[in-house]
Amino acid sequence: VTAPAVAQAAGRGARRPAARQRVDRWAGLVEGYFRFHAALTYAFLFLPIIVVVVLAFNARPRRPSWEGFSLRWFSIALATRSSATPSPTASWIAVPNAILATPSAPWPRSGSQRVGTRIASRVRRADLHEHHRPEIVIALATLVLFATSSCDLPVDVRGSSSSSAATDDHRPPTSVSIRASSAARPGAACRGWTDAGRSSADLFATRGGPSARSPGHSCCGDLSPGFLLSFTFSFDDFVITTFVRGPGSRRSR
Amino acid sequence: LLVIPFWTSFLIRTYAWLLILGPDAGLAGFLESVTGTEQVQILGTPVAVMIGLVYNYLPLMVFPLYVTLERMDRTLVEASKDLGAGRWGTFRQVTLPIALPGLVTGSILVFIPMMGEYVIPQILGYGRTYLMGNALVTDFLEARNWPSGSARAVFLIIIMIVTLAGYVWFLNRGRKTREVSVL
Repeated sequence: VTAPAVAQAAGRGARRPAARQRVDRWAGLVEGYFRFHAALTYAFLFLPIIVVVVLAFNARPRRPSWEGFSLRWFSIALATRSSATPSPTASWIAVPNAILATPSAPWPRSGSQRVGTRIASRVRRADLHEHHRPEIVIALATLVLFATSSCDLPVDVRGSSSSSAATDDHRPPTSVSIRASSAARPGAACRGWTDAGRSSADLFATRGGPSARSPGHSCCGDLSPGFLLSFTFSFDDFVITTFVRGPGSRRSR
Repeated sequence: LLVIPFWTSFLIRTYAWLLILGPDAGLAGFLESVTGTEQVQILGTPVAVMIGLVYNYLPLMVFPLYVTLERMDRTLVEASKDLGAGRWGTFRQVTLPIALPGLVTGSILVFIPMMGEYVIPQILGYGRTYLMGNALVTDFLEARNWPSGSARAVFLIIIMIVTLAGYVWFLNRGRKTREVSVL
């Protein structure tokens, strides 16, 4: 696409030789516009954070107007039990997430390279579809599954349904994160192993596993960014918790 | 720098917009004082929901685009300029075709989770701006009509599958001539 495009662009440019000089005169203006645009974008992105940080030190409880500096909200937040409970729950979700995503994340890159185009294409498609499931549908499916299952479990046993829904929902981004960190490694080693007749299981044992444990000097390697991402997502999850632990989650039978 | 705001909680950021767009010390109050009108309402309108959605889904659009443009061969742009093409011509005929897969990927990544969005319309739109997520909540949690809610969820999944099918078709169509990037 690019070569004909360049030729086409060049052809048009050649017909109008003065165009380049004319455009260059606007270079400063264009650069200024992009600087302004970038500044505006950053202001847009950071404004809510700044507002929240400032408001956290506001003495006045109800209205957003500034009434003086205070640290009392921090002490109240630290003393409340509800601030402490999400951490173990989020860890409980993040650990299986990172573990589940570790074998599946490098698979499309390392494992599917020698399995044939047809299977590799199917794996890639399945992988693609996995990333595009709305959170709300996962939450609803979990609610329906737990509430209508034949076993006599209550829907939420110590947050089990919330945790399973959150694990299901957060695994794709975790897997992307793990894949991104494993993608930095060269694929030639993997191809070498498969060319030497190693099976996919061998390949994962020799390449996927060790890379998940210790790429470079890190002891946790790819697992840690995946864990942290899943932990962050789980820490303030609202939709899944609302649905799975909300009305209708307690069965009447 | 683009990523840093998204390390903080999604809910906190959305509630912060409640303050920024609010009538007391926010944009609505500012507009009231500037224009002199009595009541400028931003919260509870589709504009507020749109601002919240753009804010929260911006990285999902930016990252695929960034990856595509980062992989782009810069010499093509230089070659185009050296051969006399202007900025607009280079962008339209060189940069845009190369960035197109990233644009499509970003659009899909934004479109699908946004279809089921519930929190932002609820907080910033006061539940008045209705998205599919709100309809699902009404069915499941308020009306307790699970079959109707499930039907809506199936409808959501069908839209998602059709969109993804279009996306896969687009990728396969351009595979021979274009280097594609998926996530």
